[in-house]
Amino acid sequence: MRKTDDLRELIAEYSTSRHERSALEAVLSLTQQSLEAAVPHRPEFKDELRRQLIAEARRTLLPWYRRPPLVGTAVATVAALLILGVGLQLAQNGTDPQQPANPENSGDNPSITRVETPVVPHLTTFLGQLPVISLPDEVLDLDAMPVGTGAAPDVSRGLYVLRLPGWVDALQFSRLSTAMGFDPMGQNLGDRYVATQGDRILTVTTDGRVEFTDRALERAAAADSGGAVVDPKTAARRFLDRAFLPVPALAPHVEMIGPGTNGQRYIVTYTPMVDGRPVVNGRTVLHINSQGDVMQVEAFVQASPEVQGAFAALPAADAIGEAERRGGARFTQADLVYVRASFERSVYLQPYWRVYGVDQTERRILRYVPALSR
Amino acid sequence: MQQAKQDPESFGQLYDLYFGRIYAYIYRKTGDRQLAEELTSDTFMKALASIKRYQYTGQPFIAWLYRIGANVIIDHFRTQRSTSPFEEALHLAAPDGGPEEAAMQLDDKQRVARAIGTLSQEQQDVVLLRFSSDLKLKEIAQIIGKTEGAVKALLFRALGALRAKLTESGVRQ
Repeated sequence: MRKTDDLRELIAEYSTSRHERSALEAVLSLTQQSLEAAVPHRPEFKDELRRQLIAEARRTLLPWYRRPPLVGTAVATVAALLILGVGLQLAQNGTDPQQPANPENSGDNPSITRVETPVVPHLTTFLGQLPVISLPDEVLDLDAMPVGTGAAPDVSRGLYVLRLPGWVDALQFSRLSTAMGFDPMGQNLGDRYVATQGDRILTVTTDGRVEFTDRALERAAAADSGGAVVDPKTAARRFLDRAFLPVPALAPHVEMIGPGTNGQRYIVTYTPMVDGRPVVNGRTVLHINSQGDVMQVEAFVQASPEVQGAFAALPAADAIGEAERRGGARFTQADLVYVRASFERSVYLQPYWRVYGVDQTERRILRYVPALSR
Repeated sequence: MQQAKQDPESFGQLYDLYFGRIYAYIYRKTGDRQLAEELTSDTFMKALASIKRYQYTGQPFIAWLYRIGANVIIDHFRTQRSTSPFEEALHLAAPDGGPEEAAMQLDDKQRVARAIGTLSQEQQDVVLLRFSSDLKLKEIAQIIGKTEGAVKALLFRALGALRAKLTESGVRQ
């Protein structure tokens, strides 16, 4: 039985003559041959999309205590200790686990005195010291789809702070600078390394931010009359691949500026996602001219996040209230994002509420409110 | 399917099973590899966001997935206000015969691609879903929200339109 038997029957049923029938069957065969060939795809795209889907699925499909491997070890250990502690308390004196334990009965387990919250005392001190980052309001790009426009997530069980291990050292800087065509030995200025080559400057901070500028191309950009010769996304991807910098997202946002008195340029922005949430001050941004040359870059070195701890969180309604309290706009909904902050030779990702609102000129804006209760 | 609503790895298996067909459909509709990657990514992300609401009511999962993909494409072109360069999306299988035969086959396939590009969006959809994605007429009807009879009529008219276009362009039949 042929795959197109149903269509041949269709043709036989609807055709008004034998001639029309044979002609349509010939078209059927030709169309089938043309469309049946497989469409090749990039294997790395398929694999990367799968990885992102699984990460998102773990965040949205699993209950919080079964979150992904990057969470699993630390949280599973904490959860196991808590369950053990509760079990031991019950075994000892039948105490309701929701009530604080009687210190006189701590007995053989003096380290377990309170079991009603998962917060470990030294982490509360840590939270007090972690910098609070102030982010400016952003105007929402009408073409951009905001992440999470549904109901705000329930944060009654707390939110995680993640840590990005690795502090940039001279060796890491030399690898990066060599890949980008600079001398491997730059200047060490304490909190950053700098390399220069004519009009090109590379700066890498010890907390992993990479800044590159080609001042000659920037000066020439003012005379750029536009008309893209090279696709800016392709140019951006090529630059990042050659520099061994991570490509943080599959689908970058591209904005065209000009042509005008300052020439024309394309700004390609990648927003990295961690555990399904965007890192809003960790974006990779490239400025590209119409010839496909990269004039400016801000990027971040790659690191795999680890869980630092779980902390009590502000509900979405309170975050919306805080955003309104700051004035200038009406706010209606919120979703969760991550914000980078450096502290004691590590980079941390803190959860923030990204609150959506409308200002007095009816522009849609975003305002950021820290999500952890301090 | 029920497992995929709770188990990320099960969802991953569905992805492995259907990625090729969804990507091929979107690529043939858009003709742009980067755009196809973006819209394929959007399609699976939306599917994941809605997976818990999916209920089998006679419509197979693949048909549900295609409908999400079709809506993603419509939303994209509605914002971009551009037409899809369909003919650039036609991937050509290795031709049989010698170089002359290969060149003639290549030419025919390009003409077929151009002809498909002149069909209405609905006719393009039914042609792609039937030939490229190998779906049954009943499944196509569920995806595009029409009756099976309407899909048959669309396909017949699409074949007739292709015949007229290919006759004009001198394709061997």
